[in-house]
Amino acid sequence: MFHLDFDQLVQPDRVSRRLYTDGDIYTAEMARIFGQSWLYVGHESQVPNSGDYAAARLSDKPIIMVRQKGGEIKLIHNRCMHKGMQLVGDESAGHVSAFRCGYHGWVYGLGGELRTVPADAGYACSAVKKGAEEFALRPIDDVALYRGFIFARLASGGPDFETWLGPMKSSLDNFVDRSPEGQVKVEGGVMRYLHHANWKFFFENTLDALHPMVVHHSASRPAQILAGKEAATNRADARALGMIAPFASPYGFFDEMGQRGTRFGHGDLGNEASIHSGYKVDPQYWSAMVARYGEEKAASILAVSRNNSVLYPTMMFKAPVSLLRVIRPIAVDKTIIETWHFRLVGAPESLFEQTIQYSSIVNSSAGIVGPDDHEAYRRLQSGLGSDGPQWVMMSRYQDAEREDSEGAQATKGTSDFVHRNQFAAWRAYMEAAA
Amino acid sequence: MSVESDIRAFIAHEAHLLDGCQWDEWQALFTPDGMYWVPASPEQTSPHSHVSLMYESAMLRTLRIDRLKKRDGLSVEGPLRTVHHVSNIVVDANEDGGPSARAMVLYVEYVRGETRTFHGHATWHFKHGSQRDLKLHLKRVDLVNADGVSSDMLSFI
Repeated sequence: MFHLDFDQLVQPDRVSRRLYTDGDIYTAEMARIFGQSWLYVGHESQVPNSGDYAAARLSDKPIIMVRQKGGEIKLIHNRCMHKGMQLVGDESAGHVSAFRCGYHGWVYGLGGELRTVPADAGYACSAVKKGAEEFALRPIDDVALYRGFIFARLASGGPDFETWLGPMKSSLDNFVDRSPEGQVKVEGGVMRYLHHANWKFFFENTLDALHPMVVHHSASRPAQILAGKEAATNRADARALGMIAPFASPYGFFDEMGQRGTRFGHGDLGNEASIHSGYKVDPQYWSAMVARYGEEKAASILAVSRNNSVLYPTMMFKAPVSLLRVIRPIAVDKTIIETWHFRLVGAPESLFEQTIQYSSIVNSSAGIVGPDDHEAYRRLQSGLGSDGPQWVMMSRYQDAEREDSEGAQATKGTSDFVHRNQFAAWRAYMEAAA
Repeated sequence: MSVESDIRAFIAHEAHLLDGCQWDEWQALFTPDGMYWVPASPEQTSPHSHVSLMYESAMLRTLRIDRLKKRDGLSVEGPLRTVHHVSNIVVDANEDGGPSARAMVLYVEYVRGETRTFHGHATWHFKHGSQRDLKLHLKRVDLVNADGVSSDMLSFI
């Protein structure tokens, strides 16, 4: 293992440019962070019935999540025990009674047990036989199911899931509680957007409240002007302006929305307010929420408006618009960002339409918001390729955090605290496993 | 002139307008409620219950066009050059009997040293304007890799 001098990589108010550009550090991150931490895998609604499966990734490892006969979900390595071929294709999903390898026809049950080996007489003198434990598909042992969201980790040991989730529990709860039935469902397609940049830029940017009014000015300012003129002639256009215009809100607005960070690099941007808090509430939705929770609880659920929430190092979610993004590092300077959409079970159609419209405008690779963020990451990647200056600054609002009622550290929205907090976690993972 | 030759001329003209960065003139080809749609999945039936790469009304197209005209925004800085190839045009009628057309499209977008290509099938749904002229009610482009890993697209196919 190569030697890393962590004092020269992460300091209290700055980090080295090498964290984003050094291929050896990237390889170490895959082992020490993605190989150790709880990672987001998927949602149980992707595999509603026994025999339903969906291909997924755990770090860079191909896995399958599959619903068992008894109803539980199992994660198994997507790799035949014979020659190692992937059993199901990347990003595939469907329904099976068994997994049959497309190379030599070995067949496995839903739980991974070896069921059939063609021409098995040839293995008479070896351990290969039906039901042999050592040739069962390898399961992932550490799996956590939290309110429908599935997380797993490759390494055993380390904090249990609830400890790792910590105060972010309330943010994830808010995602689900916004359903009048306390249940969400994956629907509406997935977008996979290739970014030519290191994975960490996305996590910083998503909690960076100082960039929207600069990077998104050209989309947002004209939208503000149109909104001011009440230029929208239909409901969809009015809703679109309500989505785009708040990106160019003043610094004070973003400061006041607040941020918080927790152990393991997690954090939220926004709380009582966010760029989503001005959205009109559909009266039908409000009635459904009141019927389920009562007026006081319904109001308190909708009053929480966390712009972006990060579960480091794979997941970003937006509870107010019911979507989440999965970060899949491909190389030191290449990352795929997936966007998944959720239906709030029991909510009127307008809520799901809002989720879909938001994503089509803001998250799409052909939108008027996403490509500007992407270009910022690309220029960060090339700017940090210069070995002139060595440091990336993270010094805004130091030591201003205070502990909130859930044990997270809270401070002003435009603080760099959430970034410092990500790199404190980064260092802890990287040093612990060194 | 037949409707068929009008449609062929319309489609050729549309491609020239886009490649010539004459976006205001391109906008004028649409009915006021005309939509531009690039689905994010093959055979997608709805832009409301399934995400799209683009689903833009006149107002949203105007926001995009303003950025392109002013080159305002990190992703649209610098020269943007495009080529729209359209081939195998078939003229027929859409569900409500209005004229429509479909064709194969190859779109090339060049910006800041990078050339990106997009392939797909396009569909045009027309309505007749007040002068019996053709107006675009819906332009839909189904990319061959609509649900694949996507890269930035800045202008209109």
